[in-house]
Formats: sequence, structure tokens, C-alpha cells
Amino acid sequence: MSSNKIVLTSSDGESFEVEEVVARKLQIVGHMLEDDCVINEIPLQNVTGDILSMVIEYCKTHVDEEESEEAQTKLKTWDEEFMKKFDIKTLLQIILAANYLNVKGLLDLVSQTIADTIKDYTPEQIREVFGVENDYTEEEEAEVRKENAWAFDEADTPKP
Amino acid sequence: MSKVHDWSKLCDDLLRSILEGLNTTKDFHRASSVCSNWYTISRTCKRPINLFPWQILFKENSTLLFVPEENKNHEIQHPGIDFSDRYVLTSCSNWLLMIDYNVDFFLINVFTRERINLPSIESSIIGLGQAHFVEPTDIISAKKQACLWIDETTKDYVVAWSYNQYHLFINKKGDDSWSSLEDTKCVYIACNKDYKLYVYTLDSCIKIFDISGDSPEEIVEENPYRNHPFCFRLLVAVTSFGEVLMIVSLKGLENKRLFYIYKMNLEKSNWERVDSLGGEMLIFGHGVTIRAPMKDISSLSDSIFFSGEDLWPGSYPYNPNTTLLRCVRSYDKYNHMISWFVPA
Repeated sequence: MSSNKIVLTSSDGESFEVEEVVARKLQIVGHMLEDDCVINEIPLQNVTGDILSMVIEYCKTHVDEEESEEAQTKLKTWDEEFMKKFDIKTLLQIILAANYLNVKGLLDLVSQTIADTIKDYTPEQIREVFGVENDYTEEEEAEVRKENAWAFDEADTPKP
Repeated sequence: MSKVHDWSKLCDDLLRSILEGLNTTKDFHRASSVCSNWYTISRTCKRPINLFPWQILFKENSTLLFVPEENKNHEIQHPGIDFSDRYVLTSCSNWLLMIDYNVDFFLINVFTRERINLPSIESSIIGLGQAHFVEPTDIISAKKQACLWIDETTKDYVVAWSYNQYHLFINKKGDDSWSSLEDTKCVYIACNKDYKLYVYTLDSCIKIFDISGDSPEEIVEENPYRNHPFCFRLLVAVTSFGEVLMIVSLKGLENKRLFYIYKMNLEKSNWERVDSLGGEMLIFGHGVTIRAPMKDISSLSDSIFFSGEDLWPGSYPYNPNTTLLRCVRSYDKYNHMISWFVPA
């Protein structure tokens, strides 16, 4: 295994020295390395240090993806615990970072975690968390809601 | 943490993968109403798969939906609209075929409550030349002799209803009256997207009618089931591939519930017992099988959804030792009034 070190620098100037195999888990880095193999410092413009450190933590853990069932179960448990550390806003930053850095496994993990988190939210709560503006007119919204009136059965909607 | 999030930049692909991570139809619909962009993206998503048929029960001022995945009842209030004097004859995806005591038929979408009234059948019944009066009990007993197929998008539909076995009425989108097939002695009917009507007759044969044209035409030469009567008390189901399955339901020894499934072996030209529904699932009383969801094929394909009344002779309780069964909870008290449907 290569022991080359690569330095990743975040948008706010924080640097992380990681092994090349770990850095290659970020496909964006993998492509850069293929294009020019002498790079050893890579600036990553769209991600802050705090988020980048979490992405690196994920990549370090997933660097040797073993096939054995035992290893897979262990990883899965680790993933679950890892995700529990974050609130929804952080998760949204991580998903953007995972998308930009192109880390497929993390992308899937975070999008499922977000889905699991928002599943019981009302549309209002989702808008608030995602900072999405409700661009419907009152009539339009009523129309959309009418389409699936049963889904808005507020009585049994748990308030997070 | 930075407060400046421009989540409108959450690109479509990311949003789509989040929405596709929602496991229940309910959560999915709620999320899709967040804003117009979410709505648009949601239309391009793979929908959550409904693993089980839902059950619906109309009460005086509300409707109960039982959603098996959530193991929960949803009650939709609709004060002033009383469904209690109407009967659900059958269903197809989100649509129910209903009849009221005036023998007026209509289709209703469970979720949107969009309603399609079918033409009056009265003149067609009177046209039979005898004084007919349809009793409420006839309506209930007619339960297993109605079938519906509808396209969710175009709302093209086909409805067939058999009255007292001797008269079979058919209506499809665009027809302003019912056409009738006489002397078919219908015991059981099923129709499908190919505008074919399958009739199991009193003399135990399968007749097939092409109902795509102005009037129903019997398909004789190309009917592989012709001259192959199948004599048993049974249920007929047509698979997605247009194959007819004969399903015999029995109460066996020690109240064991048994389903025997037979299919025509086209080479040998005889009915052969098979041990599966070919990977599809069946709701008892619906004349067509439904493709089991891909997600969980092993547990749902080849399931039969039924209630105690569907067996002969009627029996309780469910015995899990037979292979082709899946027992789904029912509202015991209202058992006879519950209908099944599979949301689209």
C-alpha cells in the first residue's frame, strides 16, 4: 500500500495530511492525481475544514472495504454511530461536500439519513430546516395537499 | 457554523436521492408538497413501493385507511358525505368502483376524491324485457361479480358487472350507456389493460371477449381455454401476462387454509397445478394479479391477500403452515365491508 501523503486544504485554510489511499476515496482528488501524479497538496474550495475533517474520518474508516460479512456489519454499525453525531443542518453540509468531493458511499449514507430524519416532518418543518421558500400560492398549495389529503393527517404527526 | 445556506443549490440529483430515501408513500407525498421545485423533482423519483395492499373502510362521516407498512389507521374526515349506503365492488390502483342503493355506479379516487359517474344502468336492465328490481341484497351479493381496470393517467377505464349471473353489463370510458352480454351465465369476471374481459361461466368455461370496440366480441379461435372446463368452486385471476389462473381456496384438515393454483399447460392443453403465482401477488376477489414490488420480492411475490370469508367453507384462524399465504390484519367488526386497494 502506498504511504504517500497528500495534504488537503479546506476553503478556510485548514490543512489535513492524509495517506494517498484515503485521499483517493475522494474521487475529485483521485481524478486530479491521475491527471498529474506529482501533486501533494490539494486545495478544496467548496468545503470548510470542519466538514472536510468529517469526510476524511469517513474515508479513513472505509479505506479497506472488506467483503466479509463481519467486516460489513462492523462498518454498518460504525456508519450508524457516525451519523448520529450530526444534526440535520450539518448533514446537509456533509451531503453537499460529499457531492462536491464525489464520495459515493458517504453520499448514499447521508441522503438516507436525511430522509430518515425528515420523514415525520411537516412540510413547514422541512421548509424551515432546508431554508426552502414556499413558492405556492394558497390555492396551489391547497391543490397539492388535496392530491394526498390523507398524508396531512396532522393528528398523528409527531412533532420533533 | 455558517448560517448562510442556499439550499436551493441542493442540486436536483441530491434532492432526488433524499426523496427516494423516504420509505412510505405518506412521507413522500408530504415532502413533495414543500415547494414547486420539490414537487417537480418528486414526479421524477422512483416512488416508495407499497409493499402491501391497503384496506379501506367507509364510515358515516369519515374513511379509515389502514396502511400495513405503518401498522396504522388514517382517518380522513369528510363530514356531510355519507358513504355508508354505498358498496365498494372492487378497486384498481387508487380507484374504487362503487355502487349505491339506486344502482348508480361511480368510480372514486381514494386520495383525491375525484369522482367519475358511470351512465345509468336502469334503461339497460329494463331493456331486458322483464320487470327487474335490484334489491340492496343483490348489490351486496354482486360483490364478487364486478371488475374494474383504469389507467391512472388517461383515466381510460373498463367496468363490468354481472347481475344475477344471467346478465353481464360493460361500460368503458366514452360509452354513454352500458352494453350487455346475454346468456354468458357469468360466475366470475376479470378485465385487464388489454381490454379483454375474461368470464368464467356457469358451465365452468372461460370465455374471452374483446371489449375494445363498440360492442364486445367473443374471441373464440384464439381462446386457449375453450373446451377446457374447470369444475370447482374457485376464483379466476389473470396475470400481467394475460394468463388465466384458477385458484381454488379450501379449508383443509385441522382448519388448514389451502390455495391450489392451476394454469393451462398450452402444449398439453390441460389444466396443471402450479406452485406459485409466477412471482406476482393476488388480492382475493380482484381478477388480476399484481406485480410484486421488486424491492422485497422474496417476501411478497406469490402472496395471496384474503379475508376469512374468501375461503370455502369460511374458516378462522389463519394457519401459517401453507406456503402461499400472507395474512393481513383486518378490522374484524367490519370485515364484510372492507375493501382492498393497492395505491399507485
